[in-house]
Amino acid sequence: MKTRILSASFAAAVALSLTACGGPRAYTRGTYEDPNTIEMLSDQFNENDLQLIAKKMVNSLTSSQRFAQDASRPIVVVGRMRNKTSEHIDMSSLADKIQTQLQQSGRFRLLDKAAREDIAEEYEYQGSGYVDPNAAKGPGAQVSADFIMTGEIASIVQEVGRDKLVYYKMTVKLNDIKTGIVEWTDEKEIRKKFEKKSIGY
Amino acid sequence: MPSLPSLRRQPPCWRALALALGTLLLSGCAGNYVSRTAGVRQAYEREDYAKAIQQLDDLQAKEKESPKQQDRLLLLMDRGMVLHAAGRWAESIQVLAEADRVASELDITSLSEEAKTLVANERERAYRGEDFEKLMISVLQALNYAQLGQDEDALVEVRRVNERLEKMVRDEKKPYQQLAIARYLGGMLYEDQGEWDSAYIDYARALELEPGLGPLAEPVLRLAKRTGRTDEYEKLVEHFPDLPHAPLGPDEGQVVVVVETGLSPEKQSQDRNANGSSGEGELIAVPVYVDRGLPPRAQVSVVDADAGAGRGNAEAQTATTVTSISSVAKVNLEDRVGRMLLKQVAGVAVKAGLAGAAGAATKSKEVAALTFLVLNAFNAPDLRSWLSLPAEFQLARFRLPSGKHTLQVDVGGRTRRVAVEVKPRRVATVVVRRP
Repeated sequence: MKTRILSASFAAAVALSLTACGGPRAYTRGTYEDPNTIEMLSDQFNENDLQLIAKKMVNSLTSSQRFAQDASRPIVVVGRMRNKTSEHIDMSSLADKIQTQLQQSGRFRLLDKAAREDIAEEYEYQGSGYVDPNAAKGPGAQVSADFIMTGEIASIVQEVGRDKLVYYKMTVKLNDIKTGIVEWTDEKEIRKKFEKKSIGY
Repeated sequence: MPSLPSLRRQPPCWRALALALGTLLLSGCAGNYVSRTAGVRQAYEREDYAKAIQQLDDLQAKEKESPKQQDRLLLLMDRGMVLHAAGRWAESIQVLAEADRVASELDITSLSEEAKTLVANERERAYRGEDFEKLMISVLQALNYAQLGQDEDALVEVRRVNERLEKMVRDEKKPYQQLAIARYLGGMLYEDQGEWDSAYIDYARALELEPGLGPLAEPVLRLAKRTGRTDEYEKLVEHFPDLPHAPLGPDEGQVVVVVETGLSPEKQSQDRNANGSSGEGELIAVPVYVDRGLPPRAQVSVVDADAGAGRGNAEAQTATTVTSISSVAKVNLEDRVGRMLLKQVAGVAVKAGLAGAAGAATKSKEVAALTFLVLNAFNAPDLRSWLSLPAEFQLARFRLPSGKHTLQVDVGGRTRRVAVEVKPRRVATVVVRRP
């Protein structure tokens, strides 16, 4: 009887092994490769990544040679941030975070691209006859932006054995709207490593 | 069923046997997803999507009451597909995103589930989805996002398909190849965004995967020329000497109609020899994919008043098959059969061991034989699959002047008209599902 039980156990172990080898894997936990270790519960881009990028970009811009000594508080509009990864990343949230931190730096004045439609609607209302014409605010009095900020995030995913490496690179640039010249650009790299969990109980 | 105190006094092998029999009885009561969704499929095939969704809601409510939720993924996939077919793109996105998450969770191999299936059957485990089905989630998501005008999110899904397939081939050594439909969609989306190089790369790859693209190969030639790929362009012209590919005019745009036709194949049981053939020897039942009819060929035409001579393609255009889900499904499942057979053989050995233990405990050969028979009585292949998928993705491509147009899609004797707005130099996508 012991022989049969051992035989059955061995067969079961072989079957499980084959199944485990043949099946794909899932990732449930990982760590940054940066000095600051942070617990992550998935292998996806997360809010901390968002914060790291925004912080890097704003610090870089405000301390750059071009703008560090500029006391004129130039006007910036944050444009499109493009997603070239294979994850759904809320790029508007990233743009908002950068915009907020730029505003908080006190070095720039910001135009909100998303608010333009709302402002245009308000102009229509103010010109509709319900508002005192002398009190109407526009159109025709808005300031123009000096610079436009755009960006793009890309990723490279490498999977070897039980390891998965995810590399993100966010590139942001600031263009002079009048001349088109790129007055500033920088990039933030994030590299994260995960181990596959293939078997659960 | 003996009481628990009574069970505790029995030898360990008897407890194991009782547990195994109890598990088998419970699995026998689980029901068959395919039969339970027959009504859903009937409504779906009649294009009564509202009724199909209602029935799926009822099934989902019952599924949530079950502690196992073995068919959770299937219910989500079917619901997502029905919503997609009904043109409820945003809702389909939400449901399929959840299906994608569930599929990822189920990718973790559960030791307890694997052990259970050695003794019981594959239907005992939660349905995990075939490889191609998980990829189809992303393909449908790409189409959903495209219909909502969210090209960037659509491209994310296209990239996901391509990356996952590359991983399956590279790491898991699976005999798959890239999906032409995913590559072609990528080309369309990149072209719509004005990214000519990326568009060319994806279109060219789609052509490699599906050399029979015919008129759909037009953008490959046009973009090869536009992006300065002289050598590639010359080769393409030699291969497609009669294919018009002039640059787009300033007031000209494009429409690509994606017609999802037919019904994906269904799984049926087939006896295979333990070594994988269909010949003599010990036979083991495994699932195989069988076609459900021949998918009808779509005819697409522009039927608005502006589609006169020289102003559009007034004549009907026969859609071209870009990807056959039927073919992909069969390759996918055949790759898995070998591992299934090995597991089945191992399962037989486990059952023989358990039966032998029962026989030894009772000192009865008859008990051993009976136990073995009972343990194998419920051994049946898992015939569940995502039955609401189309059999084929067929595409038709048009150049049209900018403005509003009406397209007519004729499939299998049924006609549908779709309004589309064409913008200069943009690529509009129109998705039509005809089960």
